[in-house]
Amino acid sequence: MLPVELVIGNVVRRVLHIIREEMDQTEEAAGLFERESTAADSSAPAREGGLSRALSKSTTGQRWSRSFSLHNLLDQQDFDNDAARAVGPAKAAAKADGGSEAGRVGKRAQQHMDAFGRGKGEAGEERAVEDFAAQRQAVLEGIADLIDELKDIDASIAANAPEHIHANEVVLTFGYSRTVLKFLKRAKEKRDFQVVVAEGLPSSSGLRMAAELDKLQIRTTIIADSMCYAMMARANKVIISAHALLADGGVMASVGTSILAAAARRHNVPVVVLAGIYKLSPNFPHEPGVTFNEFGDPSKILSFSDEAVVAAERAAPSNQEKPMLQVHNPLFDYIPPERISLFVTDHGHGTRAAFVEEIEDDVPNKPRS
Amino acid sequence: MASSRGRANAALAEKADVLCLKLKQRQIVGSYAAAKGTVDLLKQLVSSTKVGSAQELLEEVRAVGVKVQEARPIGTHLGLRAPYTR
Repeated sequence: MLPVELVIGNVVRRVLHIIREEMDQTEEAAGLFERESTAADSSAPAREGGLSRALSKSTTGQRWSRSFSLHNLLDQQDFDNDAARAVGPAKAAAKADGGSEAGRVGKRAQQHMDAFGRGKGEAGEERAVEDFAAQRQAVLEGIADLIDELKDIDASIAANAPEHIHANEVVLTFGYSRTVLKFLKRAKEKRDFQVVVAEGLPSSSGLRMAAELDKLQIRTTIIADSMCYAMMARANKVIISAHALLADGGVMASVGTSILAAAARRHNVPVVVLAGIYKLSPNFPHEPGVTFNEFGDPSKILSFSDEAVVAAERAAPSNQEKPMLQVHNPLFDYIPPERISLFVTDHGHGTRAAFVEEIEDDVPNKPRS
Repeated sequence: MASSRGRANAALAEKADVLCLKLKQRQIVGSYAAAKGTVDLLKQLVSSTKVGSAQELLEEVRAVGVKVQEARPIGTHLGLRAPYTR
């Protein structure tokens, strides 16, 4: 089943990444430990095992950097690979005994263990347990960082605001968004500008947005969604927030933003999308109208007791099973990448091409041919 | 996967179920709230689960992650494609 809430997957991947990072670091430390031992015991065979792989990895610079970047955000190695790479020397030996997928790495590791590990096995196991406790602590710290990142996400995005909104500009936005609101608030601290808010049917959250903007003493105009095109000629910029960023550089955003982006394109008005990096998903929209979309409560559009509904029911022939009148309430729109001018994230800003190129090589769930 | 899920303690499994239920009942709306709920749950999982190695921890986190994500599947069963395809 395909998910709607793509960020859940993103966050889980981030946590898995944190754990793997800690595993790799411990492994490296184990590798160093082992190199010292084998240097002392020259009869040990030259190796190709998982532990030495970790070593060579660090020399070729492929090791995960501890700092977070777009490069390592979506990294996800095959689970099998991870299974083959054990946590500590004792674990490596144990896995090799178990055979299975660890076998190919395990064989060499086993030789090693025979060379230097005999008699030290128990000590190694104790160390592995200690290692894991330390790892767990490090992982928890990593997760705490992630929570902080989420907590400050709007502020981090808003920090870019003064660069993007100039004096006396007319900014067009759509519906209510906490991210956009913080962004505009931050810009208002520096300079004056006007905002036009599309109301965003059927939730009409734009009304709330306008009220909040009014509180910030920003000159605000509210328009109906259908007026986007007419108002676009007067706008200098469109600023919206995203529900999720997709692998092709497109965006899922609240329903109605697609026509807004289309109108902006027609008038060559730049479309700026605000989104935290945690919304950047490796999923590809194969059929954007359906995938990653969701349908809301139809009574938000037309009440069940509305006379139109009653009339439609009465008019339908008695053998008709499906209702003549259908009400759909899709919640999201897909905006194709060519209609987006700029992404502003908590890690700075960039165009679609830059983002997509950066993640392209690292996308873990690339369809296999 | 079922066996690794079994190792997680009961209180945590209950919390995961509560999160799934909230997602299903639309009490958690929006990507930020969903992300926040998930990461909070995973933090508790990592700190309280009884696993012996990082490998098992990975599997545990993955199992819970899959479960939470599946609480919000695409409603293709509604059959409402026609008016909304490209």
